[in-house]
Formats: sequence, structure tokens, C-alpha cells
Amino acid sequence: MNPRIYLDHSATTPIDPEVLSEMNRIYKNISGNPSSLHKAGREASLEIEKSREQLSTALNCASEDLLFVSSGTEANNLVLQGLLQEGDHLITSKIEHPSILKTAEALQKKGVLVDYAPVDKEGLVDLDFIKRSLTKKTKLISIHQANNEIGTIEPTDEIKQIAETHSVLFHTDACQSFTKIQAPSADFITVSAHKIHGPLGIAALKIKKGIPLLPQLLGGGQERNLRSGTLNTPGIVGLAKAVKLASLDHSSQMQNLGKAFFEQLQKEIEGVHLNGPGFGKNRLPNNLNFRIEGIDAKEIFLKLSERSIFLSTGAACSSAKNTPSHVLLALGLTPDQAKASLRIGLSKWTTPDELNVLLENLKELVSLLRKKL
Amino acid sequence: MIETLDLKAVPCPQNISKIIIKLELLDSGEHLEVTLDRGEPFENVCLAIKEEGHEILKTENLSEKLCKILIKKN
Repeated sequence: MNPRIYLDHSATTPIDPEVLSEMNRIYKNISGNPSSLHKAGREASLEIEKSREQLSTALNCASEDLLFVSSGTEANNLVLQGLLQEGDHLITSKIEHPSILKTAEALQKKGVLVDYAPVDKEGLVDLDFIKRSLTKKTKLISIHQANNEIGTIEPTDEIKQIAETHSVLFHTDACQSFTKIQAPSADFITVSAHKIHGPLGIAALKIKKGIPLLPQLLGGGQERNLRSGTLNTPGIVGLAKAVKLASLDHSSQMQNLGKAFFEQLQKEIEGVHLNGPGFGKNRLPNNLNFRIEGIDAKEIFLKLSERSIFLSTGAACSSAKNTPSHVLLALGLTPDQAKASLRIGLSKWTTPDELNVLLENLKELVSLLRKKL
Repeated sequence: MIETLDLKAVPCPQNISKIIIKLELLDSGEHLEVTLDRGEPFENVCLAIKEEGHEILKTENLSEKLCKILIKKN
């Protein structure tokens, strides 16, 4: 059995042992419900509030503006469904995560007006489209800080400026970008733990104070009545620890590694093209998405998986389907080009040796597949 | 200068946690002035702060709904 080479960190990341150790401390020692008034409950509450303070520093916001939820998807749903009502107008982009796109579709059926901004061939959202689409009914612009498939970093500062100028609220899903680049500035920000070597099942939403949202979960009234449900103390502590361990130094390390790998890949295999922006331009440092001419990426993906090398053919949610990625199609790629594309998500632990093993395997598999044609 | 904390509408025990976090940043003997809701929040906070070993120096009603307490960190 080959040692595992995990290169799908845009889908999820293995938990950092230091995060796990911190969570174990909670599991072993903190047993109270954080809403309980007794000492055990107060101990849990204190852990949560310390974590909230830490996270708020990373997001440049007040701790009171942060809400803990179970996932990025839940946070995105809460913003869109909690804010938009019949007759309201939403502007989003064609390459958002399904938790935005599917929610927007569902809201359209309830009478919410939605415009989907196109993107250029690098995945950068059309700012003029956003400006042109604004109406008196526009209540929210939701554009992610960075794309999960091609790593495009969107101009969120400019979008926020447009939103502010027109008194429109701005939400950005920063699940992919959080701790890898500077935190965005927005009225609503979604971040998630499991993309940064934290635990699954915990995420946070920054909500600018004073913005009324309709809660989607009713019950005990936790989190300012916006998200009922017993707070996940170990998860929250794990999220804060993961943020503490993250460093922008890892970003430059990943970017250098990815760039060197891709340059070598282009030298060794003919017909390899980068999808999305160039390195160091508007691209997430850990993202590589490329297509290999004339190849069915799904076949490569499956063969690599058999050899314990794990990457993806698109987003985690869509990589098991055989439909071309909506993101790649939005860039202007043909369905065949989209189906010839692979995504690699690097981490702080990815080594040059692992990428060399991948390179050798890709060379062999591409050569085999091309001979079949 | 006395440190202050505004905990209006912050539920228990979150308000207690926020006071403890703030007190951890102060030196022993320093004071913290907290504004919070009257009734249960006030009662719970006073009990918990004493249980944590700090002193309530002064309490004052600000309105029908709000009050102020002065805590000395021990």
C-alpha cells in the first residue's frame, strides 16, 4: 500500500494535532452546557467567549458581531434566507458555492429578485455588471472572497465600496480564503474551521451589529436569538486554535510549491493549461486548477485514488458527479475542457516529495490515456 | 482610568464570561465598571463574580432596566 498523499485541502483539511489536543482538553474537562448558570456551564461559556474574542481579532470585528454556526453552508443560508424577502433584490455571481446558488434559486421561487454577475476568464467578477444591476430594491450583494475551485480572489474591497455607496449590504463567503490572505471587510463574513485544519461541524458568521436577520433555527435563543442550539464548545475552541496556528507564512510556502510544481508539470506533459488567474496575481496560494488537453480527468482522478493520491476534479460536492463544473463553464471553458480539469489543494504540510510523486504518476497516466486515443 | 464594559442585553452566563475575560486583563486591585440589565442578570453576575473571588464595591440603578456595578479585581 502506497503512503497516502492528500492533496484535496480545498475540500477539507486534516485536523492539526494541536487543535485536537485543545479540543481533547475541553472534552475531558469542560462538561457543562454553555448556557447553564452553574460553574460547569460558566466554564464552557468562558471557553467560548475567549474563542470568540480570538476569532474577532482575526476578522477585525467586535466579538459581539460573531455568531457560531455548524457550517459555512448554514451561515450562507442564514444571511440570504434571514435577510431577503419577497420583492428584495440580490446580486451574486455565477461561480458562487452551491450554498449560495441553491439558496438564491429557492429564494427566487419566493419572489426574491436575483442577478448573477458573470466573470471573466480568470474568474474575476464583472464589477460593471454589479453597478448596472443595482436598483432601489437591491438589499444584498453576496460575492465570495475567493472561489473554491479555481482560487480566484475577488475584489471584495471594491465590491464593498459599491455596496456602501448605494446603501446595500455586502456578504462575502471567506471559507476558502480565511487565514490564507488578509481577512475581508464586509457586513457579513462566513468562515469555516475545517478548511484551516480545524474540526468539522463548526463555522462562524460575522454580522454587523444592528442588521436584523430572521433566525432559521428556533429554540433556546442562543447566539443573540439568531441561532438556537447548544453551542459546540470543543468545536468553537478548535476553530479558535486553528486560527491561532494559521500563518500567512504558510501561504507563501504553498504558493511557491504550487508554482514550481505547475511549471514542472508544463515542462513534462504537453498541453497543460492553468484554469483561473496566474500565480501570485489574484489566486489563492494553495489552489491549483489545470486542464490536460484531450484527457478525461475523472479517469486520472480514479486511478490516482487507487494509488492513494487524493485530489479532485472540481468542488468536493460536485466531484462525484459527472457534470462539468459550473465554475469552469462560467470562465468560458467548453464542457470537454472542464472535464479535462483537475484541482489540487495544497496545505502547510504538503511537501515537494509528495508533488514529485504526483508528477510521476500524472506523466505515466496521461501517457497511457493518450495512447488509448 | 477605570475600565468599563457594556453588557446590556447580553444573556447569562455570557455576560459573566465577558467580565472574567476583561478582569483577566487587569492587575489585582484594579477596578472594572460594568453596565448590565437589572434583575436576573444583575443577580447572577454578582453571585458569580464573588464566587470567582472578586469584590463588588458598588451597585447603582441607572434606569428601570439598567444598572451599574463596580468590581475590584482580587
